[in-house]
Amino acid sequence: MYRLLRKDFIERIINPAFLDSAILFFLFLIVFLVSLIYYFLYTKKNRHRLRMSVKKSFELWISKAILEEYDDESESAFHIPEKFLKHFKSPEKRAYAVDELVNSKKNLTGSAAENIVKLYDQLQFKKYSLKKFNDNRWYIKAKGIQELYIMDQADTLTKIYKHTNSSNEFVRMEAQTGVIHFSGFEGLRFLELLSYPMTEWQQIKLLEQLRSKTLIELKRLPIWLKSANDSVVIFALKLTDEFQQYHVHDEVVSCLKHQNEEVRIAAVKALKRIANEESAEIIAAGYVGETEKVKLLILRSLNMLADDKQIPFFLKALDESDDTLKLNAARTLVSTTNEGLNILEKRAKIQPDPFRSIFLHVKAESGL
Amino acid sequence: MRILVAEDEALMLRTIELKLKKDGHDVIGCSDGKQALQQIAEQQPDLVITDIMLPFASGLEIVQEVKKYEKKISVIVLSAMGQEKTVEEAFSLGADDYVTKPFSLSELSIRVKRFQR
Repeated sequence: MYRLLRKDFIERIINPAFLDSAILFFLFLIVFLVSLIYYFLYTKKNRHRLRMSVKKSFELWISKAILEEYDDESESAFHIPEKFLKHFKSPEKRAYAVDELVNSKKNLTGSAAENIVKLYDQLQFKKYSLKKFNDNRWYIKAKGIQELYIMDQADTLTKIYKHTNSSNEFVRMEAQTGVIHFSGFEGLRFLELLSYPMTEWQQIKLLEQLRSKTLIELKRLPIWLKSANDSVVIFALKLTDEFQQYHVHDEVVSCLKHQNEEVRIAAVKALKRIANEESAEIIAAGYVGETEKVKLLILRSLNMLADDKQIPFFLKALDESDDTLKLNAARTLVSTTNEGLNILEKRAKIQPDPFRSIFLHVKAESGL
Repeated sequence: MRILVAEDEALMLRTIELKLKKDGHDVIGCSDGKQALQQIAEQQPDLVITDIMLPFASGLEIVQEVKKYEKKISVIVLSAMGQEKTVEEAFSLGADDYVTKPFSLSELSIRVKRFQR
């Protein structure tokens, strides 16, 4: 039965009529595929060529416009060539133009930057940025927010502000950056509403951005330092550290007892920066029961703050089982107290291992 | 003065080029580091203005190459905020000045004038 079926099948496929049809079918298939590939490459090349031609002429015109200087405000409208108005009806070319304007605005200040914004306004690109801003896709929304704040569209601040606690990380980041762009330190009020975490990268970016803004006293800082959102507390401590906010000394001290280790680390760093005469004692008091990471940081921070009053603390720290902590305690003891080196030498005689080598190492380091 | 500008953002490059031309300089524009190094060797500019982040060869490599072989060519580095360490590195390689982005074109013009002999 099987042999019969097989024989029948073989006879059918070597039938000339069947072979002709199969060849014809595959020929058509190949022609179709080649045409499809050709069409795809042709349209792609065409699009690229068009883009390049618009790019060249647009760049030349726009760079001339950026460099224009107007003495009279009434003359400040740019002459926009008809061909560009036509070009900008195409979403692709318009997107290219907006991207170029946004990139240049990021890199320039002064009259050139003002001219870029004027051009953006005059070309009515704002409505397209707003369209992106209202889009539900996060990457388009984030881009829309970025365009609006880079182009100084301050009237959109309230709308942007609402997204500072967006569930999407990137939308949230752009919205927070936008609010700081418009309002500087005042814009930090979004920290009170923030329920999502702030990434370390976002914190670095915002601190960098704030450095160029006019510093004001951060009256809301005590609230942020008590936030239920740990990342907000960490950021508030970084603000305290970076901008030396002495008025929150007590709140920073409270953070030393926070359950989150990262908060305690940021608190030690901040307290070191805004220290008063009590800070060394407070930092040292928090040492017992800390993790090794925080202990190490405390010992290093005390290098700038401790004095003879902390000798009993250092003596206890020298009893640590961890050699790195022992060495750092010895270092700080020697560098901050008058009798540090003598104390360490006596200890080395009583307990040569490991204090003999620690003593010699610290002595060599300190050059005493 | 003959100035070579190396900047990978097309519009920025064209704008800087145009501004310096307006100021009366002879300007050569390059959009990547490799092209810039080639043009420096061929055209022997008096001043090089280079962005730090460039494709194929970075701004630092340009400073290094220029100062290795052509000490008389001055170099201004265009850096972004937060690139202080890279600027320090550029100075250690021999860069003569730097401008931080965002910058004003008039500021750049003033810096360039300082190198005019």
